[in-house]
Amino acid sequence: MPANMNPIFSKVGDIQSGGAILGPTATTAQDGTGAGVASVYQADATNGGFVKAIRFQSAGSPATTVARVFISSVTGTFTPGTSNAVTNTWLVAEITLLTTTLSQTAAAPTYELPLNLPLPPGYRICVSFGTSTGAAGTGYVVTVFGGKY
Amino acid sequence: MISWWSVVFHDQFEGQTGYLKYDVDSGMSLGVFFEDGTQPSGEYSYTTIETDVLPPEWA
Repeated sequence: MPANMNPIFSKVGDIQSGGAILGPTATTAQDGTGAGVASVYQADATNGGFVKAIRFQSAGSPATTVARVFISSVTGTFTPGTSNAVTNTWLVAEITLLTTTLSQTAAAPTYELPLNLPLPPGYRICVSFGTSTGAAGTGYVVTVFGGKY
Repeated sequence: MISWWSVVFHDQFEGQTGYLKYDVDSGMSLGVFFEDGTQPSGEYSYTTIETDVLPPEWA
Protein backbone atom coordinates (compact mmCIF):
# COMPACT_ATOMS: atom_id res chain seq x y z
CA MET A 1 0.00 0.00 0.00
CA PRO A 2 1.33 3.49 -0.78
CA ALA A 3 2.76 5.36 2.16
CA ASN A 4 0.65 8.42 1.44
CA MET A 5 -2.78 8.43 -0.23
CA ASN A 6 -3.33 12.14 0.33
CA PRO A 7 -2.12 15.13 -1.62
CA ILE A 8 0.44 17.25 0.16
CA PHE A 9 0.10 21.01 0.51
CA SER A 10 2.44 23.73 1.75
CA LYS A 11 1.78 24.85 5.31
CA VAL A 12 3.25 28.31 4.77
CA GLY A 13 4.59 30.37 1.90
CA ASP A 14 8.33 30.52 1.45
CA ILE A 15 10.05 33.20 -0.62
CA GLN A 16 13.82 33.33 -0.71
CA SER A 17 16.51 35.15 -2.64
CA GLY A 18 20.20 34.68 -3.25
CA GLY A 19 21.02 38.15 -1.99
CA ALA A 20 20.68 41.63 -3.36
CA ILE A 21 22.14 41.09 -6.84
CA LEU A 22 23.61 37.98 -8.47
CA GLY A 23 26.38 38.57 -11.00
CA PRO A 24 28.66 39.46 -12.63
CA THR A 25 30.48 36.16 -12.02
CA ALA A 26 30.03 33.68 -14.86
CA THR A 27 30.41 29.91 -14.92
CA THR A 28 30.44 27.96 -18.16
CA ALA A 29 29.99 24.51 -16.63
CA GLN A 30 26.63 22.79 -16.90
CA ASP A 31 27.58 19.98 -14.55
CA GLY A 32 26.87 21.86 -11.33
CA THR A 33 30.49 22.75 -10.58
CA GLY A 34 32.03 26.20 -10.52
CA ALA A 35 32.61 29.20 -8.32
CA GLY A 36 29.75 31.11 -9.90
CA VAL A 37 27.00 28.77 -8.75
CA ALA A 38 24.99 30.57 -6.08
CA SER A 39 22.42 29.11 -3.72
CA VAL A 40 19.17 31.06 -3.91
CA TYR A 41 16.77 28.81 -2.02
CA GLN A 42 16.86 26.08 0.58
CA ALA A 43 13.90 23.89 1.38
CA ASP A 44 12.62 23.50 4.91
CA ALA A 45 15.20 21.47 6.82
CA THR A 46 12.60 19.19 8.41
CA ASN A 47 9.81 18.69 5.91
CA GLY A 48 11.12 19.91 2.58
CA GLY A 49 9.07 22.16 0.36
CA PHE A 50 7.60 22.96 -3.01
CA VAL A 51 9.09 25.54 -5.36
CA LYS A 52 6.67 27.06 -7.82
CA ALA A 53 8.83 29.39 -9.86
CA ILE A 54 12.05 31.35 -10.01
CA ARG A 55 12.12 34.98 -11.10
CA PHE A 56 14.97 37.06 -12.54
CA GLN A 57 14.68 40.83 -12.30
CA SER A 58 17.49 42.84 -13.83
CA ALA A 59 19.55 45.29 -11.79
CA GLY A 60 21.45 47.88 -13.78
CA SER A 61 22.06 47.13 -17.45
CA PRO A 62 23.13 43.49 -17.67
CA ALA A 63 24.54 41.88 -20.81
CA THR A 64 22.91 38.99 -22.57
CA THR A 65 23.50 35.72 -20.77
CA VAL A 66 21.93 32.41 -19.94
CA ALA A 67 20.77 31.64 -16.42
CA ARG A 68 21.16 28.04 -15.36
CA VAL A 69 19.05 26.60 -12.58
CA PHE A 70 20.28 23.65 -10.55
CA ILE A 71 18.93 21.43 -7.79
CA SER A 72 21.52 20.72 -5.15
CA SER A 73 21.45 18.13 -2.38
CA VAL A 74 23.92 20.13 -0.30
CA THR A 75 21.95 20.50 2.92
CA GLY A 76 24.74 22.00 5.03
CA THR A 77 26.76 25.13 4.47
CA PHE A 78 27.02 26.00 0.78
CA THR A 79 30.33 27.41 -0.42
CA PRO A 80 30.28 28.14 -4.18
CA GLY A 81 32.98 26.26 -6.03
CA THR A 82 33.58 23.95 -3.09
CA SER A 83 30.27 22.48 -1.99
CA ASN A 84 28.74 22.03 -5.44
CA ALA A 85 29.95 18.99 -7.36
CA VAL A 86 28.84 16.80 -10.23
CA THR A 87 27.47 14.29 -7.76
CA ASN A 88 25.27 16.69 -5.79
CA THR A 89 24.18 19.53 -8.08
CA TRP A 90 22.13 18.94 -11.21
CA LEU A 91 21.02 21.23 -14.03
CA VAL A 92 17.23 21.32 -14.37
CA ALA A 93 16.49 24.40 -16.48
CA GLU A 94 17.97 27.27 -18.45
CA ILE A 95 16.58 30.61 -19.52
CA THR A 96 18.00 33.28 -21.84
CA LEU A 97 18.27 36.73 -20.29
CA LEU A 98 18.57 39.44 -22.92
CA THR A 99 20.47 42.70 -22.70
CA THR A 100 18.65 45.25 -20.63
CA THR A 101 19.22 48.99 -20.48
CA LEU A 102 18.34 50.61 -17.20
CA SER A 103 15.62 53.19 -17.53
CA GLN A 104 13.66 55.34 -15.13
CA THR A 105 10.73 55.55 -17.51
CA ALA A 106 10.51 52.11 -19.13
CA ALA A 107 10.17 48.89 -17.16
CA ALA A 108 12.85 46.25 -17.43
CA PRO A 109 11.59 42.77 -18.30
CA THR A 110 10.91 40.22 -15.60
CA TYR A 111 11.88 36.66 -16.48
CA GLU A 112 10.03 33.87 -14.71
CA LEU A 113 10.80 30.20 -15.05
CA PRO A 114 8.19 27.73 -13.77
CA LEU A 115 9.70 24.99 -11.63
CA ASN A 116 6.84 23.20 -9.83
CA LEU A 117 9.23 20.87 -8.08
CA PRO A 118 8.98 19.16 -4.69
CA LEU A 119 12.24 19.42 -2.79
CA PRO A 120 13.44 17.03 -0.07
CA PRO A 121 14.41 18.58 3.28
CA GLY A 122 17.37 20.92 2.98
CA TYR A 123 17.76 20.64 -0.78
CA ARG A 124 18.66 23.82 -2.63
CA ILE A 125 17.93 25.71 -5.82
CA CYS A 126 21.10 27.22 -7.26
CA VAL A 127 21.75 29.59 -10.15
CA SER A 128 24.67 30.47 -12.39
CA PHE A 129 25.19 32.69 -15.43
CA GLY A 130 26.91 31.50 -18.60
CA THR A 131 28.65 34.81 -19.29
CA SER A 132 29.40 37.89 -17.25
CA THR A 133 26.40 40.11 -16.61
CA GLY A 134 28.57 43.24 -16.66
CA ALA A 135 30.19 45.46 -14.10
CA ALA A 136 30.13 44.79 -10.39
CA GLY A 137 26.64 45.42 -9.06
CA THR A 138 25.09 44.62 -12.41
CA GLY A 139 23.09 41.43 -12.68
CA TYR A 140 19.83 40.02 -11.45
CA VAL A 141 17.80 39.85 -8.31
CA VAL A 142 16.81 36.19 -8.23
CA THR A 143 13.79 35.24 -6.15
CA VAL A 144 12.27 31.81 -5.63
CA PHE A 145 8.59 31.42 -4.78
CA GLY A 146 7.52 28.30 -2.96
CA GLY A 147 6.16 26.88 0.23
CA LYS A 148 7.25 24.82 3.21
CA TYR A 149 5.62 21.42 3.76
CA MET B 1 31.21 48.78 -31.05
CA ILE B 2 33.59 46.48 -29.22
CA SER B 3 34.34 46.95 -25.54
CA TRP B 4 36.97 45.13 -23.50
CA TRP B 5 36.43 44.16 -19.88
CA SER B 6 39.04 42.96 -17.41
CA VAL B 7 38.24 39.71 -15.62
CA VAL B 8 39.66 37.44 -12.95
CA PHE B 9 39.33 33.68 -13.28
CA HIS B 10 38.26 31.16 -10.65
CA ASP B 11 38.34 27.40 -10.17
CA GLN B 12 41.23 25.71 -12.04
CA PHE B 13 42.45 29.11 -13.29
CA GLU B 14 42.06 30.76 -9.92
CA GLY B 15 43.67 34.18 -9.68
CA GLN B 16 44.65 34.55 -13.33
CA THR B 17 43.44 37.68 -15.02
CA GLY B 18 42.36 38.34 -18.56
CA TYR B 19 39.87 40.03 -20.79
CA LEU B 20 36.33 39.66 -22.03
CA LYS B 21 35.49 40.94 -25.50
CA TYR B 22 32.02 42.46 -25.51
CA ASP B 23 29.83 43.65 -28.38
CA VAL B 24 28.05 46.69 -27.00
CA ASP B 25 25.53 46.82 -29.85
CA SER B 26 24.28 43.27 -29.47
CA GLY B 27 24.98 42.91 -25.78
CA MET B 28 26.79 39.65 -26.46
CA SER B 29 30.01 38.35 -25.02
CA LEU B 30 32.45 37.50 -27.82
CA GLY B 31 34.92 35.50 -25.80
CA VAL B 32 37.11 35.37 -22.75
CA PHE B 33 40.90 35.49 -22.96
CA PHE B 34 43.94 35.22 -20.75
CA GLU B 35 46.45 38.06 -20.67
CA ASP B 36 48.45 36.48 -23.52
CA GLY B 37 45.47 36.25 -25.81
CA THR B 38 44.87 32.51 -25.46
CA GLN B 39 41.47 31.26 -24.44
CA PRO B 40 40.72 28.96 -21.52
CA SER B 41 39.80 25.42 -22.39
CA GLY B 42 37.20 23.31 -20.68
CA GLU B 43 34.86 24.76 -18.11
CA TYR B 44 35.79 27.89 -16.19
CA SER B 45 34.43 30.70 -14.05
CA TYR B 46 35.33 34.34 -14.03
CA THR B 47 34.22 37.66 -12.60
CA THR B 48 34.29 41.03 -14.31
CA ILE B 49 36.64 43.43 -12.54
CA GLU B 50 36.11 46.48 -14.70
CA THR B 51 34.27 47.32 -17.89
CA ASP B 52 35.53 49.50 -20.76
CA VAL B 53 39.25 49.01 -20.22
CA LEU B 54 41.98 49.57 -22.81
CA PRO B 55 42.11 46.71 -25.30
CA PRO B 56 45.03 44.29 -24.97
CA GLU B 57 48.01 44.74 -27.30
CA TRP B 58 47.22 41.57 -29.22
CA ALA B 59 43.65 42.69 -29.96
